[in-house]
Amino acid sequence: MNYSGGFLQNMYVNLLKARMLEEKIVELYHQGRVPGSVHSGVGEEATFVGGCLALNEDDYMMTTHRAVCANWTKGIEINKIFCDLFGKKEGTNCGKGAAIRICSEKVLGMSGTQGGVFVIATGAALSLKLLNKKSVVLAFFGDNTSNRGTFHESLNIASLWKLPVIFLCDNNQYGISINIKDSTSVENIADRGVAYNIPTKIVDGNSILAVYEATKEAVNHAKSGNGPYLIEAKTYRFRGHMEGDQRSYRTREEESQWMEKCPLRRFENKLLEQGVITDTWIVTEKNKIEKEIENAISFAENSIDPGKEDLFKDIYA
Amino acid sequence: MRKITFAQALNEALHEEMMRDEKVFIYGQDVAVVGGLWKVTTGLLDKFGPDRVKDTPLSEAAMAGMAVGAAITGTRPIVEIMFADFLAVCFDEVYNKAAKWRYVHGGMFEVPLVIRSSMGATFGGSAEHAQCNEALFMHTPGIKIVLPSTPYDAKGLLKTAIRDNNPVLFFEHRALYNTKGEVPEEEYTIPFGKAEIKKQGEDITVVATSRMVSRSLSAAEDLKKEGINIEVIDPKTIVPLDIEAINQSVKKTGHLVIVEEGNRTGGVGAEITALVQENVFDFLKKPILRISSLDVPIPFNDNLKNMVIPSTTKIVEEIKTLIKK
Repeated sequence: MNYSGGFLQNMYVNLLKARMLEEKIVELYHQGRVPGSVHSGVGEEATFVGGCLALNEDDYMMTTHRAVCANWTKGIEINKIFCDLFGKKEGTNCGKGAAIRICSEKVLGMSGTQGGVFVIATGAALSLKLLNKKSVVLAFFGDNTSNRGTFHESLNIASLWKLPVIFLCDNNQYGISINIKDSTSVENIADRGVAYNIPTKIVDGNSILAVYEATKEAVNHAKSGNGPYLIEAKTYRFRGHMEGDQRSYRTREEESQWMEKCPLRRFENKLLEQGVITDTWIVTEKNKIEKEIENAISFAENSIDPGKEDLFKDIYA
Repeated sequence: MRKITFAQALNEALHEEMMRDEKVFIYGQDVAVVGGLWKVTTGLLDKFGPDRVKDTPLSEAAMAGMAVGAAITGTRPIVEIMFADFLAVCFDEVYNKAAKWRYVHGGMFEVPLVIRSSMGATFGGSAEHAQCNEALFMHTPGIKIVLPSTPYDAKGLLKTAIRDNNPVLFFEHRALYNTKGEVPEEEYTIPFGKAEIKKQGEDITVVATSRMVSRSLSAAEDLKKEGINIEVIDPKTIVPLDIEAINQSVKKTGHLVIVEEGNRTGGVGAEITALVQENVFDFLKKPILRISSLDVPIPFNDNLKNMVIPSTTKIVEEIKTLIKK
């Protein structure tokens, strides 16, 4: 497909923002400034950003614990993202749900038990269908999460009722320490689609354009009333399951092979070759993003903690 | 006034609320074409069509979890989980998702859903088709729990449940479905968190829920012959719980008995006992008595089952023993 220079630049900026955000969170964690665990999504940003960019503003999204960056792509203010990371009152969840539960009207939040995403996203899609809304729900999930029963129950119902939901697997090869070969009976998560009569596509998860195009196709499919779609994006988790994980279960050689396929560098080189962007432009953009992130950190670190008045608030509506 | 069954009363509530609000819809196993195993959803498919009345596959986790997803995006789902025992299959979706989604997302979402479930030890049921497990959920902040005991209450409480903007677990005792009671033709709802004194009395406060309300009322007649005049209170909802009504009654009688069909340990009675001793300890003349099912899985054989579930006779005997102590 042919894309305009402006489109590609915007896509690059989103990818760069995602990388810089994910890296900054890691840095803050090691400085002792994050009051919780960090499950870094460094290396997997093309999957999340490519997926989110294929959505319209009125489409819904659910990310995983792996990708805080997806929330930024989907339009949540960076100030709020850092407030949630630090558990501050001014975040989207008032210090109650951590960075994994950043939310908005269109970002439906996250299930702390893996696999909750399937049922919630399918239910949201049912709601959209009943309300005759022309929107879709994009649900990210990890490879090992497809082994939960909720995956199978949800894909069956979503297909049976032709619900507008896209299941996008962030296959980063690992569920904590377990390689997909040791957790999953099929080679590809997408192989499971056939059991539920759902169309599937396997894409290079480190190619933002490939993920974007596959998701666009799935969105069109779902919006035309044809039901759900299963996309598998094959990528790699550059860091451990969480910061502090020593990665004893895999080799450094394996890691460096994947790092050769860094989604940001690949896209950057491509655009540089095509003359869509220049080195100077990149530096300018990086500086802008860096400033935006630093301002947001400063805002969040200086904002207040939730207090007694918030403790019992919102248990019930 | 006309008399209709508990199941008919529930059915009317569903018809009326689905007519009133087109965002309300219902799904569950066998609820559409056959109108539910308990005949509570009869006629809904014909009236509201297959988009709003749906039979589901055997997928309780999806059914309960999807209700959360639907509720946070603008519709008002009602789910029928055929047996309350099967709530164990979707426990994560009820306990972690429905109950907590609003709180952990800082109030971003409302979660207006109702899970209706049948419960109780009735003919032929055993361990996984007979339990009254409401106490499991009473322990969970974020869910409201309804236990209707009459057709009138069933209808009014279900209408309130459907209009509530929170997750509601609505437990329907199977032994009550065919019981008849007065239900007016006119529109009404019944508020949550407001207990009703089903029978006035001065000697002993008896708090009972669901089927145990009618058994306690029968016990009251037998006890009256012995000169014991009990007061029977039905909280109707155990979350929110009208503890004030119970406190007031205990202040008057000085005695508290809780009758529930769930088993004893960690039960609803245990919680009410704790609250009452915290609130009105000085008014109690004797220890609080819990009459409940025994702490065993519910057996199939009737001889065994009758030893487990509180009967009217057992309620009478235990209260008489309490008085004599």
